[in-house]
Amino acid sequence: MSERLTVTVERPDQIVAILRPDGYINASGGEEIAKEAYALLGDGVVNLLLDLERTRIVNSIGISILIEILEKVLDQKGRLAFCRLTPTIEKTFQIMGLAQYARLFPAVDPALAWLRGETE
Amino acid sequence: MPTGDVPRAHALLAAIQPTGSGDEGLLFKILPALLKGAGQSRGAAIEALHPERPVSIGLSLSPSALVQMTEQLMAAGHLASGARLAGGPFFDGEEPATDPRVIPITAGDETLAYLVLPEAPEDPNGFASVVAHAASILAWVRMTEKVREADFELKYRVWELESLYEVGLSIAGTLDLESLADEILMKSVSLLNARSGVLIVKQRDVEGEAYVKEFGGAFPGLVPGAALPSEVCVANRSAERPSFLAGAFGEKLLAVPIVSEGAPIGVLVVADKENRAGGVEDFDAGDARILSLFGNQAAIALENARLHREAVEKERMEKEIELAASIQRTILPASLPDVPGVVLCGANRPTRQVGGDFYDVFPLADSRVGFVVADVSGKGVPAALLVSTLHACLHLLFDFGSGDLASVVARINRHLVRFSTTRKFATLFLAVFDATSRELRYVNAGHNPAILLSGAEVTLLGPSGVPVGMFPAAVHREESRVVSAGDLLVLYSDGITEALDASDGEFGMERLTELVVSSDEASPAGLTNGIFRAVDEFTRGVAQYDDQTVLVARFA
Repeated sequence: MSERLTVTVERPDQIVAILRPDGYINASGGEEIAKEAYALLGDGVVNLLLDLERTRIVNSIGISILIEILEKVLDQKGRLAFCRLTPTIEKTFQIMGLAQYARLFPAVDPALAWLRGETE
Repeated sequence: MPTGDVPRAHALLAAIQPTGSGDEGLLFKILPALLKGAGQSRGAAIEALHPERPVSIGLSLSPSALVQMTEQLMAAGHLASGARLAGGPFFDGEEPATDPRVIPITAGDETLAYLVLPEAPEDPNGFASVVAHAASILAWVRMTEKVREADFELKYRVWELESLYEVGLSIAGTLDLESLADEILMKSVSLLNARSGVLIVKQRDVEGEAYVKEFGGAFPGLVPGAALPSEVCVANRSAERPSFLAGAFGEKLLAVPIVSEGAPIGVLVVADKENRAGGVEDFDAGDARILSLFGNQAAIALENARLHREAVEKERMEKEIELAASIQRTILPASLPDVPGVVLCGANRPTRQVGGDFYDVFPLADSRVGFVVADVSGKGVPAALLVSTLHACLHLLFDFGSGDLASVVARINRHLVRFSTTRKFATLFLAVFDATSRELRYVNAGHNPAILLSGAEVTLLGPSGVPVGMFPAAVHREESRVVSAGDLLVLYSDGITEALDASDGEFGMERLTELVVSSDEASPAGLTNGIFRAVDEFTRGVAQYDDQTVLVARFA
């Protein structure tokens, strides 16, 4: 894992997109994620999955940016999910309230199924 | 000048549905309503907390020019004073404003925004109600922002506590320093919004060596020879930076010592606390407090690991002692054989740290008997193994009728020098008594002089060669003498003569000799017990630090 965050985006279909950040979700890392997320929202893709397999550290600024992304997704009646979080990050998200309006999943497939409305 | 439409302005304001904090377009929604209420077609609105985001309607200014003018007005204090604007800068370059003014939009004591108009409203009272309505909307948004910030702050504090708690659990649940150090460092960096961090712990007893856990690439390592800090160090400027961090790349640093047994053994450092705008800001006392808590936990983790290592080492040593003791127990004779012409008694009192004393008696053919007292250097399993080797050599060589004692000792010596990997040696007194000829032959390889008491005459049978196992070509000389009936031979290890009392005085050769001469014990067993009793009385409870062995022979 590199400390400077990079994001890869995968669009398996028109309904969902997967963002895969690799690195530290801090101020700059969060902005990178936000840039890609807002571009997708602007493109009409409102159901986003953040696959955090290659992220093991996030700070409060990164969390506040993720919360802003979540608000914009909800504004556009979309859904936001996270998957493959480390136990530490999962607990952090629960404490900081991200888990209240976004869903956390252990793996990609169940997350995608939920984003597509195939499960509740 | 058109008149203001106050009811219409109120209707426009009532239709606004703010989305809460972060609604950056709110002023742009409010401004048309304000202009409607003022009966004007152009103006600007500036949010008090975000003067960098002014909005305007009907002005020919570019956005950047608008921002620049806003900054100038803020700097000159014209916005806060609510005064008529001198020169009307917003409206220069187009139809000049006749009476440009700033109208603050306030809720209670707080100014939430400023409205800049080219002229004063015609209906000041009606317009005041529109401004109050706009103020209530802005106040609601501001309050939701404050609630949201307070909620975030509260959750952040919970996150902080939870992180400290988790580290505490990890310390209690694992001795894996690698993962503990990683957890402490990651939590420190993330909770303090730092960009990088390093945990450095100096290796005990190894100068210049350190265990380093690093994140973010800002720390090339300890400055050689630099002292670790013993106090918290907040270095928000280069001049405040301590020497050991001279090579760090970060702009602002915070370092806390990791202290064990009252001395600094390491340091936990974080660099560059970032803010929402992407810049860095100073570390403060609250940050130092948090990092100190993590530093303390690192010290506890290290102390736990050290104590565990010591406990494991202690257990290993105790097992080694037990193993050595069991080896020695199997070698020492349970009882001495009855042999013609001499009555023998031997005893060994080992220390807790098992040493290398042993004694033995070898019945031989033709009314001969061999006996030995030996003392191997060192303690523990290595010494016990050498004792075992020596014991086996003696038994083998005597069994095969090895001839003169000097050659026996020479063969033992060559074997020990060649095959002992632990650089250990042994002193020994090896003797053979022939009951028929009454000849006592012996070799003393560096051992304490044996005491031969013949009537009232004492003869010390001193060394006739160096200890075995030291030099491959060592030469040992066999000595002999004829003993008479009733003569007494006392062999012993230096654990007897070097036994210490409370003032570090030694029992000594002289005291032992005197004891042997003056003893009225007829039996070797009685004399053996008498010697141990005398040593106990002399030492008076001082801990025994070496094995004590005595072998007494009374020649019949």
